[in-house]
Amino acid sequence: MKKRWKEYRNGWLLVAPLMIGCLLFYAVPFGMVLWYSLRSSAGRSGMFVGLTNYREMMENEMFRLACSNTFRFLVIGLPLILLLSYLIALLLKQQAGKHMLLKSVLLFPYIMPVAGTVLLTEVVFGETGAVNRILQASGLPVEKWLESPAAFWIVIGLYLWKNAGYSVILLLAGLMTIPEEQYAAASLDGAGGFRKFLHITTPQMWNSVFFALLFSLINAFKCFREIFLIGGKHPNTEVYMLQHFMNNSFENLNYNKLSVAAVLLFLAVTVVIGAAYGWVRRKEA
Amino acid sequence: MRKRSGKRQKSELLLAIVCAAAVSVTGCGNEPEAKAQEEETEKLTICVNGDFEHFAESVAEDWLKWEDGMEVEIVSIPTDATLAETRVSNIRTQLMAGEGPDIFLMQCSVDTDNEEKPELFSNLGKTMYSQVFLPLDDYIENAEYMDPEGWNQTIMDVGKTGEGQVILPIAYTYRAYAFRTADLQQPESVPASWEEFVNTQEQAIWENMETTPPDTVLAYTFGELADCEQGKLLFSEETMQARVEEILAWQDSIRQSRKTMPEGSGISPVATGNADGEFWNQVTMASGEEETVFGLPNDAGGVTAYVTAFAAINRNTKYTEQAFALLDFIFSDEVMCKTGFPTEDPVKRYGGGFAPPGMLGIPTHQAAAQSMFRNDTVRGLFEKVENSISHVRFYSNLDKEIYWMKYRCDGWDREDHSLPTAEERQEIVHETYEKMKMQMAE
Repeated sequence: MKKRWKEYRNGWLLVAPLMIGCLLFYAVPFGMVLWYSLRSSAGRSGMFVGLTNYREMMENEMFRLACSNTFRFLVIGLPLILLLSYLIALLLKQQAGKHMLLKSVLLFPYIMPVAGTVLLTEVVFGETGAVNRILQASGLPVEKWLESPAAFWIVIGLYLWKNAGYSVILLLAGLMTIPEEQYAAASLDGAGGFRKFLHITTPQMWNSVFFALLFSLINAFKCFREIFLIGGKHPNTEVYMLQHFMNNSFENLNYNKLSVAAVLLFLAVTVVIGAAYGWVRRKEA
Repeated sequence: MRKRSGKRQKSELLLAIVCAAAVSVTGCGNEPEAKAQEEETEKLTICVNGDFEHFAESVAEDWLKWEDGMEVEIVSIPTDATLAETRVSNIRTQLMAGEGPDIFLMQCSVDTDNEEKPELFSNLGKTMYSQVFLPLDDYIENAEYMDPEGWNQTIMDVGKTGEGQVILPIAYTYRAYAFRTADLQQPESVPASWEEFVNTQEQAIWENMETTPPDTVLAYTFGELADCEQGKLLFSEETMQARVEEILAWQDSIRQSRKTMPEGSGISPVATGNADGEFWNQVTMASGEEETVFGLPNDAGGVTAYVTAFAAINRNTKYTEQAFALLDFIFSDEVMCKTGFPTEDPVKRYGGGFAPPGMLGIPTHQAAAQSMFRNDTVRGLFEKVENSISHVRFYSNLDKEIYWMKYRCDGWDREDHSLPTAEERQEIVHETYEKMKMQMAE
């Protein structure tokens, strides 16, 4: 035991500052949020009310709208981004060594500042944007794209454009670790492209896919910044997300609702990530 | 081997020192001395905005002469939008942590010049139900100076929830019009409802509607606007649509009539606008002639009043007694009526000489309101209008939305100021209504 502690001590000491920071700035505040969600108000004047806030939240139509929009965004956006990134990564792997610059170019949208992305969106889809000008020139009616239900699909497109490059890099890194000899051996045995993908590539890519999913999920929530700058605090109902609800609850000083929404979001994300991780571990076993 | 063990020990020691230094430079601890000092002196924090800063400083200065061992800090929300955003965000974070200012002494007027300026309480009516403010009934009952019977109860009721009085309105206003009776064709039957008002044939009234632009009066034409407890609007989108079209048609007819009127033939009112000290001063100055004064009627047949200034105590304040003592001082007859509390010096009085800024409206304190009038005739006119108040609310983001909706329906947001078509107006009203619904439902 003493020997084991001596072996691990240096490691623990090295991660200690980070762990303490995580505890102080993440775990403890989250614990406070959880506690607030069970009380009638923030601070010393609040009384313990159990799950009353959660019950009221489920009856709140704006919360339900925000949840359904966020869920719809994730259900559509995540599979699309993984599929798109995977295809691009497979293409890039075939061209490995020929187009080195392409890998860097794919990351340009990701590193573009939020304000720049929003400006670009306004220039293309704004009331006097490029799309409306083309429509006007063609004699077709113009539309307020960013204030209409079409804003949802614009945001999906924005999410794919901005974040696909990051997922491509993650997946490409995974693809490059698969030994070429395995593909060569499979070719000798008469395996075609699809069978190689199914039996060689896929089983060894689960870990990379998991991490690509994880980061895509994080980036999906970051999309709120663009939606907020485009649509404001109360955008079209189709793009009213959970973060809008939480941001507005903070501004309305309704900390109960904010705390409950944060806890429910945490639970939902934990369940999804946990399920994905479990699936990946089962596949790798 | 001994040499290696010594080297290893040195490197481990160095590693431990580096880790300890990394943790300690996070700055988690305040200097112990400064913190101890802070805890010794009790400090009451008052959050103010607008014109209340000077009033709060003056009244706190006098109050502190009575109350030992306390300090008062004024936290003011700047008028600049960027600076206000930082300050407001800061205060919201403090409130979320169960801290924040002890007392709120604030204006709640709508800043229609600046669409984006953040307000600490964007909808005070809703915030009342978020358990941010301390219920004051017990304190008021045992108050030393406050006399609730001396307040306008119609106005005070707007600050009540199921827990009791949580907000103390200080001043209020409504849209009012004063004419010489001789200028009116039918002075005994001034419009009693919005419908009568917009269809009136009284030349004096529709001639002077441009002095109070329709886009600023639109919100006043609604009796019920929203149920803040349930989080619902109390009027339909169709009602709002119809109201906008009514006002636009009315604006148009006034403009057309003005074109045909000979120059100089118009009837000048005695006063129009928000009922405040200035309005009633003008009415008083013209009281040599018989006057008719009435409030802008709403669609429910009464007059809608707005609270323009209020006081409240943070539910999480550590200094409940002291915070209420200050409010007790402010709401006393002596401070509200500017007579002041006596001191040993027969000339000097505490709390006299200043009262909440007069341009905010009519004081909720009835004696202070009555002191605005110098003669019984004007007082009688005032009481008649007061009796017609049917609805009272706080200015909120809903009023802001209504104002900007009308602004856009007039085409002022367009480069060429062209009027939107009927379809475009319908779209504007729909967007605004949806936004207001969302704001209430959150």
